[in-house]
Amino acid sequence: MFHDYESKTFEFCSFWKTEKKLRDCNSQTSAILTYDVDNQTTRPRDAECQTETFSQLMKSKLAHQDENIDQEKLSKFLSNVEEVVSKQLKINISCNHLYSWSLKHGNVNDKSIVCEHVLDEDGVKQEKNNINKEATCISWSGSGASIVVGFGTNENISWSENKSFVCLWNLDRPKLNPHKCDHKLEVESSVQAVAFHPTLPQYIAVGLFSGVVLVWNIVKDDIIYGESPHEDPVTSLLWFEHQNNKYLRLVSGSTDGKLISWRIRKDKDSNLMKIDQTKKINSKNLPRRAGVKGQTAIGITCLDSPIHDSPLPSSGTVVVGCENGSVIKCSLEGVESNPVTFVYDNHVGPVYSIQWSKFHRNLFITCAMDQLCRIYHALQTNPLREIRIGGSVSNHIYSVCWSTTRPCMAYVTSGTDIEVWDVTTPSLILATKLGKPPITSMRTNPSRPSIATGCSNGVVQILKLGSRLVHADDVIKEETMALYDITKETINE
Amino acid sequence: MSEVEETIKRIQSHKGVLGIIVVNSEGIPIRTSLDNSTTVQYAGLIHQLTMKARSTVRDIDPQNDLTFLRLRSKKHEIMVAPDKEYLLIVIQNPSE
Repeated sequence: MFHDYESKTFEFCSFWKTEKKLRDCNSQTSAILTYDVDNQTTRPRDAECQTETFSQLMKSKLAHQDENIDQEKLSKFLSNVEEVVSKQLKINISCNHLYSWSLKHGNVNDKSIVCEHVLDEDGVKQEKNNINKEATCISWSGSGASIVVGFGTNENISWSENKSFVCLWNLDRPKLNPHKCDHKLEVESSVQAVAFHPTLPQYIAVGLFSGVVLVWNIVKDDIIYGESPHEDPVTSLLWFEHQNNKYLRLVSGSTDGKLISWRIRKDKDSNLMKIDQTKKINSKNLPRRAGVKGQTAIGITCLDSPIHDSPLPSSGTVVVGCENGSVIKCSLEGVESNPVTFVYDNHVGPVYSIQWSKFHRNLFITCAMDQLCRIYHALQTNPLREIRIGGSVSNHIYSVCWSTTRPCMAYVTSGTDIEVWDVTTPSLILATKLGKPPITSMRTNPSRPSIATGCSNGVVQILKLGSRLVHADDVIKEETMALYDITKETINE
Repeated sequence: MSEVEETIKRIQSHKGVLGIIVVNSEGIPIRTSLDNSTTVQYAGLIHQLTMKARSTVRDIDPQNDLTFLRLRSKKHEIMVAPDKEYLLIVIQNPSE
């Protein structure tokens, strides 16, 4: 029934498939440009060369002097310049004053003390029956040109009301008349202390034997009295700086033991100087080693205060020398009436003079009736140095001053002599005799190389110091170091 | 030549003149009355100082120029007269 059937295959052409047509084609790009370039790097190489030093060059040129010079130009230059230079040379010869320093100080080793002026006021000498003829105190003005001398007597035993004088000389005046002072003030009692104000030279403070403190205004020729006097003679005066610029501050010390702080109003005319504060040194406030018994007041004979930046002392610290020989550091600040802050070892006998060193803030020098000058460190009770003044015991040492320019030098008056001491060793540098009457007071000039000494016959001598005693530039460093070395002894002890 | 020498002698004859040096614009001494080493020292130092002084004056005012320079010391005075090409240095001790 069923059997396999194979049909025929059919073929038909595609409607869409066609044969691809191919054709060969060529194209050409532009040529690729190439360049060839050579390059070379540098190779360093070391090489040495040698020049002459400038001085050698100059020396060699000097040797071949005439080679490269245009003589004409040179002579033209010289003729132009010669006139100017010659004129200047001649001017230099004629005006010598610029070089007079070197002329004056040419002799650098001049250690002399030469008397320049002798001031002897006739008015005082010729007063009849006047016992107040000694020049008891001197003060220089801040500029060093004027000097004020207080006349009085150191021999007062009882209360005296003899009139006395304060005389002022200006040493720069060409017609300086040594016998007649420029200004004179008559006061009712012997003058024991004078003090020029360091920056305002019209104010001179005067302290009298009667205890009165007054301020003489030489510009207005006016006297301002203190409100109430001391009970005993005023022995020392010191101008201080007042915090308020309208006022002046003065501190006075007296043998009644009081330190009175005064204030003066600068602009207003006032007849009275007001008391700011009074402090009293009483023996009960001193330790037993001061050797004073009982409850008496300790009389003050001299005082000084350190100066730091301003020309006036401004700190309230004052170091005081007393009648019994005590040396006490006091403070003017605070309200309590006891000013004592520190007590140093005593001298034997009244302390006549005390001065703080300008070059060290903790050193001061004192001199007393026991013929000793002592250097104390402000923080230590026993003195660092003691200088025994030679000469007979009757030679009173009334004053000691530091040198204003040399840190280690001090001037001491001993009777009729002035001795110059180097305090570091201590050694005597020089002693100068000044003549008969004993010296009662001495002050160094704050800005010039001179010293004023007042004698017991009323004569004041102005002495010029030799340049070796004054000129300090070469030694100031060593001497300041030497002063510091003395103070180091306090630490080592 | 002799004129130059004469002028130098005249300047040197003034009272107190210790020495005179003529220096050229490079700082090299041309004529001198002092010894070599002193001359060389003075010439170099003063030349530099004069250049400095001149530039100072001109910096402050460009139309100004240095005409004379004086150096006073404790021991003597050094006077310098500058020019475009030369420099004259005279050392004088006036207190003699």
